[in-house]
Amino acid sequence: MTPEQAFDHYHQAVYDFAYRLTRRTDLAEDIVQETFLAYVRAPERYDPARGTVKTFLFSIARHLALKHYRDDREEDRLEEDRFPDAFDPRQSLDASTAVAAAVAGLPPLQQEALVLFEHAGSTLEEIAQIVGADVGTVKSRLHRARARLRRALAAYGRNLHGAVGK
Amino acid sequence: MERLESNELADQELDRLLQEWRVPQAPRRLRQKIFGGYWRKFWNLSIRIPLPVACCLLILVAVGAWRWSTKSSGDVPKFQPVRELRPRIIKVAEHAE
Repeated sequence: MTPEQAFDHYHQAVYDFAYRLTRRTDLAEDIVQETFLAYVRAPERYDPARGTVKTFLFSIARHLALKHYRDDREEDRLEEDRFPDAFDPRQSLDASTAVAAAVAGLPPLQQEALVLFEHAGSTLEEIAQIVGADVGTVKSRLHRARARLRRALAAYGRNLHGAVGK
Repeated sequence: MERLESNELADQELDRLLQEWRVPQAPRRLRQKIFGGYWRKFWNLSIRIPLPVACCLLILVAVGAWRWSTKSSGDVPKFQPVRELRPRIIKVAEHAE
């Protein structure tokens, strides 16, 4: 797959992933640009034996997103919570904003596992390749992320239950 | 899976809410920024040459440059003949005194 073909297939997915992790369109755009430029400049770095083009691109994007965290001097908090449990999603007017805010309260490594699984449609094995961890670790992060979101969004979910369902 | 506690969402409810999370479309300018036009492709173009071939090419270029420099330094400035010769003859008076 040439870089241009890869761009046609995956640029929206990579943009989604970067946006959900950074919640900023300018950063998401930069990450997509850097991700595909890395592939254009050195396509030989992609090794089919180590994964698919998708996992290759997502791993670059993930690295860039985490670099953004580090630039914000948050590298020492990767496994910690960024926001307290007291987040009240009812303050948000729409479900999208509420979910985004609730996910933002997760530790970054849980965020990426959740976004890759729930929104990028990646399998546990693919996520493990992308984040460089074993499947068990990914499962654990995913489980903790969902448990936390179930609590964080409970109030909002109950209020919105009828509206979303309809 | 049923709701475990009254203050938690059920899995299905969480799944439904997660799908509500909307993301903007990627801007169209991204393709242009990454792949650009023909000029960008031209400047990013690269070819792979085996080292012996590259060495031979370098030697040929060096020899050519050396020969050109020695030839140009040996040339005499262009000779230009006098277009109009008007010799002026000055005669010395033989019997001036």
